[in-house]
Amino acid sequence: MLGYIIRRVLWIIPVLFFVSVITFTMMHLAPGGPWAREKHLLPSTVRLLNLKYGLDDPIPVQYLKWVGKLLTGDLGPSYKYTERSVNDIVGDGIGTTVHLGVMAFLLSIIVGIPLGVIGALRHNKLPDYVATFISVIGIATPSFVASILLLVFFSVVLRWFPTHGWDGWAKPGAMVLPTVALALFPIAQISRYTRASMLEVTRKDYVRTAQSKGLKERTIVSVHMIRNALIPVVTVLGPLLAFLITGSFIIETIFSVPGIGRYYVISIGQRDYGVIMAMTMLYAAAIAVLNLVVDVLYAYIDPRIRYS
Amino acid sequence: MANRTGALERPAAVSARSTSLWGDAFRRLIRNRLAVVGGIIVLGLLFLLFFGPLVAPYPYQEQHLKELVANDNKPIGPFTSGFLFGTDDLGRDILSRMMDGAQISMTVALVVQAVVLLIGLPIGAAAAWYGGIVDSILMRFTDVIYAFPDLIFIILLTVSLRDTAIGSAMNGVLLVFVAIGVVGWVGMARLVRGQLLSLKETEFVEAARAIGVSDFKIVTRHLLPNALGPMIVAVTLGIPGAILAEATLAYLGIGAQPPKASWGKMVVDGQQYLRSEPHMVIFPALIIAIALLSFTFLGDGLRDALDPKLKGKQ
Amino acid sequence: MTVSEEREGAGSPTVTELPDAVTIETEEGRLLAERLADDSRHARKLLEVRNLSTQFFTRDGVVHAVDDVSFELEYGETLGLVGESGCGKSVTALSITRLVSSPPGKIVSGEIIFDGIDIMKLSSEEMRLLRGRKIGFIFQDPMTSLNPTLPIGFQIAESARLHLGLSRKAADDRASELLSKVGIPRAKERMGDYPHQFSGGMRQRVMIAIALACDPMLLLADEPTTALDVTIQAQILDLIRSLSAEFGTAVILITHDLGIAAGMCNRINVMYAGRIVETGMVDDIFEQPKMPYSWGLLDSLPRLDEQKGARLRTIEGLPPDLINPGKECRFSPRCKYVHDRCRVEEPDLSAREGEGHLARCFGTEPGGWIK
Repeated sequence: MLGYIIRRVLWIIPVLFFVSVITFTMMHLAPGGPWAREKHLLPSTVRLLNLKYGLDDPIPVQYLKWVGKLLTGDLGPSYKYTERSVNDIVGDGIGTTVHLGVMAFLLSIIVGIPLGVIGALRHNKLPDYVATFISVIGIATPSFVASILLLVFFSVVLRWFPTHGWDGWAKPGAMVLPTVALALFPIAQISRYTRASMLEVTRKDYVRTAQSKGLKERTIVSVHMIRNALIPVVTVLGPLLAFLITGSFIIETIFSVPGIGRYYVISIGQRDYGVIMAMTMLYAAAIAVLNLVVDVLYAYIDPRIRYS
Repeated sequence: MANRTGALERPAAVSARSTSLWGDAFRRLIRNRLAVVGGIIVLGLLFLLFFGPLVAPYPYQEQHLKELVANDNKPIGPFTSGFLFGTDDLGRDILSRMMDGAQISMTVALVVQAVVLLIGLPIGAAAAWYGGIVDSILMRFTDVIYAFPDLIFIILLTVSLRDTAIGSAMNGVLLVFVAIGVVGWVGMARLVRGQLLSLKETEFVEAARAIGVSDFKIVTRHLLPNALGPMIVAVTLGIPGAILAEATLAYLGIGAQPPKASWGKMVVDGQQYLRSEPHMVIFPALIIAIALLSFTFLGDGLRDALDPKLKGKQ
Repeated sequence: MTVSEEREGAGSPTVTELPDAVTIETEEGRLLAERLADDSRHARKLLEVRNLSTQFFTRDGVVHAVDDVSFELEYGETLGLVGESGCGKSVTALSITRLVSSPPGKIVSGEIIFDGIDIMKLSSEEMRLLRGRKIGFIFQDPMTSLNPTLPIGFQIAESARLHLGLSRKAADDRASELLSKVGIPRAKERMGDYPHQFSGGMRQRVMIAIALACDPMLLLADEPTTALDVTIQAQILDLIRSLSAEFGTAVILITHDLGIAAGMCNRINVMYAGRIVETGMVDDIFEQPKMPYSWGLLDSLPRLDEQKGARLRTIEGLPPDLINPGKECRFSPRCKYVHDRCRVEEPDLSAREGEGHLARCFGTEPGGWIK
């Protein structure tokens, strides 16, 4: 198992390398430099700016310099907000984004797993239909649609929660809608996978063995079935974590949450290529690491892999 | 695939009325009501794809300024004469724009999946057939792409190319296809590879080889048809993802440019009027959800129909 | 909870009930109930199955998996249920412990009296208390019958903790004792190991330990060796035999292999198409079987003294459709000795030579056409 972990860790390197090449290439495919849109700049000013930011170096050199800086944690400058570096901007918002993401993740597990288990245990009866209905809605509704609908209903009509104004625990009310909106899809996915997995486990021979021992149904479900059912569900956590990250773009935009996701969207609109590149790498690294954690977790909780 | 060996275990107990593989599957599909409903809606959307402009009450970009002004320059509400779903803030009929959006979404669905098949199938087949180094390289390559979050990649692609020639083609719609397709072929490649790998070791492949059938023929005539089922399911289930990606991109301002009416764009346009004229948002949002659900139900139904073992009911 | 024990038969102690203050859940209550039960045990059978019918309600029709089956089992006896796949032997065993998955299955009629207790009248909670405690089950496939995510020590100790009220430590000690008793070397160290770390034969031994954890009166062994190598088979069977002798456990051994049944059982029930078609002491069945199906079964056993290259003998044809069994003898389509009467009427089980030897065949009845 240790070998497996090491291999997985090493695997991140080529992935991130590839991502960096692609990101760099893409950004430089875009016609015009970062100043192309600002018509009021004189050519001489543009030349000076290029010099200052090293934009007239040959491309491979630029790439190497960029990667070099990344490896030391320097995310580079913002071409729009010249006084602030990307590090500053990220530093400001990342706490918020992580906060939102973690809460949505916890919510999705707390709601999703029981929903799936109940659906499986009361298969084809009312609780199952309710659970399935919720999960279908969650999967089919794009996050921006869900967010807007939630906004309309709970904020505008019912006025239970504000439409914006995130401030962490200082304003718990403002945290509710963004968290729920972000958690909707993960809840649906987790409950779907849990349900399917539990149904499969129900048909397994070792469940029959447990019954033949005279165990209570509650014991059979909680001790024997759930741990087996949850193992495959872990595999879906990886993509879900990635979703929580990319979903933050939209959620933060709609609810005006001051995190880095919203900032990413803004810089896309503003064509701030330095920021886009740096943050893309940041996201890619984060997702790669999270996937690694999930894979290791999966190997750990399945005794067949752990002790092999 | 349908389990024929099941019939051997209890020969007399199973009446022999089913015929071909596809006939069986089709019959099972029909029994699944959700899938049927989904299928009907999908057909409706496909119809709109080809005949949308003919059926739409108005051209999607036409602004009905007279009526708009008459309404205090506010978007006209739904269920009023002439505008079934109302208009947007520029006086354009929402229903017609939704139909145009249907064209976009359905084109995305079909074109993207075509791209996915065109790239993914040969690569997956090659990896499975040749094995060895070819397989390793291709699989490593796909693993790396796979690890890269889809949406970010798509965003990168569209952002970097949107000001180029490709980006402007068809009001930005072509770029969206390419971006989504380029990212999506990986899943198909893996699926095809997996299917072919398990079939490769069967005896009829050995027999075919022994007779001297060419590699290409073996793959196309013998192996691929067997993998067809899961491939069809994958294509169908991949469509909601593609539609969603397109809508999300439109929402973020990337992709279909005005006056083209992508559903996602309609949602973002209508957002500011959420309180006063929610219909601008609700109808496009609803149709997105309906389209996604329809393809999902249809895809699930196809999967259950083609391999009932997976379903788990007795 | 009181356990009311009803007794069939003549001249015996009547209904006994525990005093209200003492319930079956306490150790005291258990011992008391055991003692009361013990007194009546000498005059009755461990298991009486009468006219048991279990059916499965499927989309294609009602499958009569077990059709009017009756038999008895003494305390400490080993009984074989022998027959082809699909003849109903497994379903019979599952019915005894009411483990038939329902839907689609259902015990539609019959009585099952176990240790004087009417199984069909128990609530599901009471039934659950019997399982594991008085009736142990060994399933066919050791690869899938054990929970892959729990250590085997836990899986063995579980029923001891539940039914015997043992503390964790006491249950673990008992489990490791059992583990070494079933022949797992270094039992104590292996208590924390997981099923996948054992071979098939060892896993089956673990299953046996689980089944015997609470010292049950009856052990139901459903094809315990079918999924194992031949060499391991013998070991497992020996193990079952010696343990049941040591603890006085009655065994119902389900198998399709008459050879296995011969080595283990006192009596044998041959089943076909959901019915018992022959029953008797093991020697009688082997030396003078009185039903063409039994002959076919015996005949099909490959023997060491046969010519090399000789063809394996089989019983021609396939088992019948259990959805609409007709009124004729169910074996008639495949029987070499079939007469017109067989195709119209089904024989009852009637007596043959030998103690308790019954067979279901017109042809072998006294005066029949088969000699």
